[in-house]
Amino acid sequence: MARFSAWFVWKKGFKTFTKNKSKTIPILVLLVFAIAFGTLMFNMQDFRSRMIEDTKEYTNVPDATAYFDPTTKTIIEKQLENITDDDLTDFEMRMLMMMDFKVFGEEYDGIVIGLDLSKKSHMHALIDENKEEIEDYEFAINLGFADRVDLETGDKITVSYGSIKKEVEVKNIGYNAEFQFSPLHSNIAFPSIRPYPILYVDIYYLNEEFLNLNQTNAIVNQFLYQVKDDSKSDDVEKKIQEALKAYSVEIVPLEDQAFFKSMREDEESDRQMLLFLTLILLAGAIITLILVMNKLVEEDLKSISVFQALGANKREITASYLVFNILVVSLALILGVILSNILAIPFSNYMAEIFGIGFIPDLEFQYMNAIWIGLSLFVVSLISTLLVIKKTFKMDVQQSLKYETKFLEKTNVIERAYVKTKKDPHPFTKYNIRRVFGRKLHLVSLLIALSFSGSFLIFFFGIDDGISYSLERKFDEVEKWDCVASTWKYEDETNMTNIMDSLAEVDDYEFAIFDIALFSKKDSDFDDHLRIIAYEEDSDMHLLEVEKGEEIKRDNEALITSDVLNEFNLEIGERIYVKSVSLDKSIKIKIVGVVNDIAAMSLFVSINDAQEILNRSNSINTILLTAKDDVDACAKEVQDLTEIQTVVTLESLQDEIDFLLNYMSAAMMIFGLILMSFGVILITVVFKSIADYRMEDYSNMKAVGILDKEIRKSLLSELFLYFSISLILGIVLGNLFLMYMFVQWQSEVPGLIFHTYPISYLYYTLIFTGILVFSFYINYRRIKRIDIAEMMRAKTFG
Amino acid sequence: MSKAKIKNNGIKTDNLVIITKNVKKSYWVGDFEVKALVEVNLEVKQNDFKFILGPSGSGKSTLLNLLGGIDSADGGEILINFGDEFKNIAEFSKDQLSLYRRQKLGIVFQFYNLVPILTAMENVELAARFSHIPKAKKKSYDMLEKLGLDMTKANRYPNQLSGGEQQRVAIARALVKDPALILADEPTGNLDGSRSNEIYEIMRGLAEELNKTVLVVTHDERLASKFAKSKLYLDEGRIVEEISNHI
Repeated sequence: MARFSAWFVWKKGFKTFTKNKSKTIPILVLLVFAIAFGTLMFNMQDFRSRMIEDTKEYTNVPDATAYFDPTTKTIIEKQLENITDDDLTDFEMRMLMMMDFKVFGEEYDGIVIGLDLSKKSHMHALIDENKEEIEDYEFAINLGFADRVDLETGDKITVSYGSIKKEVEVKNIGYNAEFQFSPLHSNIAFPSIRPYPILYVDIYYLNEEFLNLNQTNAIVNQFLYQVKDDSKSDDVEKKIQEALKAYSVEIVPLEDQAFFKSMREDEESDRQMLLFLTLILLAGAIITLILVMNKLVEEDLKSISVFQALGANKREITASYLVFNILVVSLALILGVILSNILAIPFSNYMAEIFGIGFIPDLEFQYMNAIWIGLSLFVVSLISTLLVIKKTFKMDVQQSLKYETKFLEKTNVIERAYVKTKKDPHPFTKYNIRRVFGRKLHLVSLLIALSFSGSFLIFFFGIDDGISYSLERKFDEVEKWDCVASTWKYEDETNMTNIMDSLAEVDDYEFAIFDIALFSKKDSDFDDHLRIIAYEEDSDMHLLEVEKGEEIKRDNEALITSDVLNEFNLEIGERIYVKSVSLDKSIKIKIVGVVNDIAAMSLFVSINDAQEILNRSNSINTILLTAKDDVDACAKEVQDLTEIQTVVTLESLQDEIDFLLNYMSAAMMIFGLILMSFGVILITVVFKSIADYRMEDYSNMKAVGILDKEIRKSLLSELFLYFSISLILGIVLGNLFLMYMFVQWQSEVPGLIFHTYPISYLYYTLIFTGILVFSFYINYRRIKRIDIAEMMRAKTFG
Repeated sequence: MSKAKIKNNGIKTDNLVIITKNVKKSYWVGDFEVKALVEVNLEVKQNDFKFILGPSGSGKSTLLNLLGGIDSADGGEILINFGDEFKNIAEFSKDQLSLYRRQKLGIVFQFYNLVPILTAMENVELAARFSHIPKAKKKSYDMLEKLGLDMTKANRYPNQLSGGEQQRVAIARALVKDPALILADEPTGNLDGSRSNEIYEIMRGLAEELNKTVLVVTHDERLASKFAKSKLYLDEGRIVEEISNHI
């Protein structure tokens, strides 16, 4: 066996790498892009978990929080004495009160938390931007709200509770996740999740100033605790539940807290979307890689034959391409990792801003992700190279020269049709048909690349559109009230009817019930919560649309959201048991239909049934209203009622949602831009690969006298062909991706409708045309600048 | 081509097709300047069959490329007879050069430079169609036949033809549009002796029959002596000798 020449392998591989800049650079750009963004996407998937872990660590979150009726601190201490000694590592008691805030002339509902400031460190600690707990909690306010209203330390705010009004100076600002994504009024239909004010004060100050209590008799209504042994947390919960049952205790474990729950719930859909985007990036990179490697090796065919003639064996030639591949992928990996690390900084900042996190999580760069992506690209590039080389080994030099026209052995269908229909077919048209339709791999790759690039645009426009449309539909077609009022507690229907009838600004009103209940398929093991929603029969203010099944016609019938149906394998016609959280008595309900109302985990029942389930006969807790003339005047009139806790107008809700949508649109725009720039690179590289095949032909034709405008005309016709096909395919593909995404999301948010506005198709067409024309122009410029003399010399010297 | 006496800057241009004045061309190889042509002054008469000879690197091909408008000169004038006047193609735009190549020129290259995905017939027809020659297909067929190509091979792709056959196709492509001037760069450099003779005999015969002016670049003195009407010797970018052959 001949000796293996490592010198030749390295030399040839290195020369192939350095002397083919026109091929190597596009491959590099594409690989760097795919590795950088692929890695970035994978790393972003870890962002949420990092955010959760960091929040737990830095803000010292409790394992659970017990809420109970305001009670003297010493009583709670006594009740929990054994538990705090035996089972807990730390605990803290606080007093939480909802109050009215006035900041810079604007009124807000918010929370005041009374803390025992003799303690140095607190659970749900407020942290500064360096992730350090703030030193002084007295008159500290939450960062989210401070950012929302541009509040700074030293600014004065007014806090009022009933007739008591206090002006305080903000002394500190800090972040924790305690009330993030947690609606202030959980019992109204559309709670705001925009940051509201949370002011931290000394518990004795709170007791004295707002409750008129002396210092020794502090009142608390929250008990935050951390357990010694995680495996016993259920037992501890039961013990606390038992110890405080006289005080209407409700315990919320950490995993059920809004911030952590919301982070975890969205993690899976985010993961799918990011994985999908990464796969698209990799697929695009692979297609182009195959094309460019094909061209590179084909151009090298002659030299391969010459090297073979000079004694190089197949192993050495193959190994030299291995060296080339290693060089390209390694360099791309290094550059990709560097770029990914650089991009991770603005991305982390942006993500932190989107999620309203007051610090930048400590993202650890996942090098394994980069290595896996790099390795898979290396394998693909190697396989595509080896396949072409394998073909080459089967040919001698003479054959390898004939390889160029192998695809011409059989006339393609389009040319046959053209020749048949045209009396005097032009050879240049035949040339174009052969170049376009002869090489099927090129045509298919190009159309795939173009269609995918187009589908990216449709995808991102569609996501934005679908969500906006669903919400608009909800507000325009379903919700016909002007404002919604929630009561402090369940109120008697007759009493409320009298009150509402006496109001001058209210045109019409309907009663409703919003509450939480437990349900089970059998009349035991009530472990799952459902939101109970009840509107009046034949409501004119909330127009429910039954998607499947039928409307509620009699008692003990219910409509259900599709997420419940899917998650618990329920069927229309099936009966479930529903009961109040605090009662043992359940009632049997028949599911008669599915209604998707952008409300998850919800059961829609009649008001009678809701009252029976919740044991609140003739009582309601929500009122839908329409105003006579002025919605604000109506809202104010209702808000002034002592029975009413809060009133929210439909307009302000829309504002809230628009605020959230803007953030989401910005995020979509970023992903859209990444994929669009990837699309531009992809299309430019594929066009370049196609142009490379034609450079010599155009050069020959230019020597014969073809004009640039004739080449341009033919290329534009070709571009139009690609454009028409891929524009349509892009729409089809993009909509398929969208449908998939929406089906996934609908399992979490029923009522989300897949919809793309016609204007988005116009934008898509314009942007897509722009990308194509740009890519075309770049390559046309190269063709226009062909140095014929140079091409002839290149030909002469082989 | 007009036989009228055309004045150009006071120079008598009786029966001239090409006049070059102080044509210069340099290439840069790294920091090193290679002077390919140094102030070349040349006149080519109508119906001449002129051979440009010289050793490798003497500037033969560069001169031909400049005359064909496929490379640009660094200085000097390249005047081409356009019938009613001489035009300096060194000042032409790219499109004007393309039109010049299309209307006035036929170029034959050493490696034929045929379009590989067009058949022999289509390659010839392509040039004819670009030049808007009426009955392009028939004329292409006739030209290939005239050049002695086995017409059963007219629908074959270039790589299915021998070197000699490909060169016949390349010559047919140059002649089919009836150009006034034919430029050939080592047209038989890739062929053996007997095939070279055959190709030159065809070119010379057709040039005489069709009244063409032909400029051939070669380093083969034997072929030049046999077929040239006149010879031009280049060395280090300068014309060193001009000889008229009388065959």
